[in-house]
Amino acid sequence: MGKFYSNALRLYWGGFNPGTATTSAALGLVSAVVDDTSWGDEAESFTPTLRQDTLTWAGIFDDGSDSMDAAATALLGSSTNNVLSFLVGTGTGSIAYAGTIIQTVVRAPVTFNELVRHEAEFQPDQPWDRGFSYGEATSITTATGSGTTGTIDNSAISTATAAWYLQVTTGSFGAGTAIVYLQAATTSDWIDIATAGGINARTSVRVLTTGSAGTIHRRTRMRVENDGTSITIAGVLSRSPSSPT
Amino acid sequence: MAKFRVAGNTVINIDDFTGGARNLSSYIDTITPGLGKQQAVLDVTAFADSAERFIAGIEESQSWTVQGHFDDTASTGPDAVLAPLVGTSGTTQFNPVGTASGARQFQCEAICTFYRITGAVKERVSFEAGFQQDGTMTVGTN
Repeated sequence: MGKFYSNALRLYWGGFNPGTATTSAALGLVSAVVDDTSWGDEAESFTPTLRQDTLTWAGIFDDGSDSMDAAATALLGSSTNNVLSFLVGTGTGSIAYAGTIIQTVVRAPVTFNELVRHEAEFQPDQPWDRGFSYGEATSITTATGSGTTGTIDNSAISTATAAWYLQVTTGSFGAGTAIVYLQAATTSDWIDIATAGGINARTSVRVLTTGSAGTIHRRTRMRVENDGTSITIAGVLSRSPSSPT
Repeated sequence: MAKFRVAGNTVINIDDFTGGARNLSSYIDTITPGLGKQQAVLDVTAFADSAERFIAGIEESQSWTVQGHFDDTASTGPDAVLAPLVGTSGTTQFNPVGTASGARQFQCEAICTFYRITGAVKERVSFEAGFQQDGTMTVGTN
C-alpha cells in the first residue's frame, strides 16, 4: 500500500499493451450536475445527473505489435473486444479500473527535430469499474482437454455480484477456447458461474457473475477449456468491486 | 496575531460513501482555488444614483479541486474514499489553519463531480477530485 511512481501504471486495451510507449494518461470518473436552485433556497443548490467518464492517452509513436498504432488499427471505432484495463501497480491486489470503451481519435503530431508523438481519445460507454487485479501476468497453461488453474483468490470474504475483466495478450489457442469462472464457499465445492467463449490472442472480455444466493464468494478460480490443443494464456485479470471494506 | 504555514496545519475531512468523515490531509497537497464563502450581488443602480449600487443576492455555489499523490490504502486512502463518491453528495470540512479550539472552519454539503488519476512519465501518480457546493457554507470555528 502506498504511493506510486508513474512506471507502476499499466494500460491494456483489447488485449494490446500500449503502455510501453505511453508518456501520460488520465482516467476520470465524472458526474454532471444540474442547478435546481429555487426561490426558497438561501444558497445555490445542485443535483448530480449523468456519469460522463473520460480517458486520455499520449505517448511516443511505436509501430510494434503491441503498440497504440496496432491497437487503433484493429479497434478504432469498435464496440467489440473493447475492454480497457488501467492498473496502478502490477502485483496481486493492485487497484484496477476497467470498463468498455470506444476509441474515437488517434493522431500522430509531428514537430521538426522531435520524436513522432502519438495521441488517442476515448469515449467510455460505461462508468469505470473500480476493482483489483490478480497481477499483471496471470498465466494459465493447460494440456489437452479441460484444465483447471490454481486458485486466484482464496479469501473467505463474500461480496454481492462481480464484474470480471480479462485481457488476453498472448497465447496459442484452439477454436473452442473458453474461460470459465468458478467460485467456492470452501476449498472443495467449486461451481461454474460464468463462461466467456471465443478466447484468442488480443482478446478482452467483460463477464458479470452473480452467485445463486445473490452473493459471490471471493474464493475464485479461472479455468481454461480448449478443443484439444495445449494452450498457454498470458494476460491481466481484474475484478470489481474492490476488496470489501 | 499569528501566521500559519500550510504543512502540518491544514486539515480537510471529506465524507466517504457511507457518510463517515475521512481525514485526507495526509494525501492532499493542493486545494484550488481555495475554499470560503461567496455571495452574489445584484445591480440596483438607478438614475438618481451617483455611483453604482448593489444588494446582496443568493449565496453562490463554489466549485473546487483537491489534488495530491495517488495512494491505494484501503478504506481511508484517497482512491478508496473519492472514487465511489463521484455523483454523490457529502460533507466537506476544511480547517485551513488546523483544528485547535477557535480556529477557522468551513463546512458544507458538496457533490463530488469528478475523480481523476493521472500519470506522466518521470512523475508521481497523482489524483484530483472536483466538488460543487450544494447549499449554504457554514463559516465557524472548531
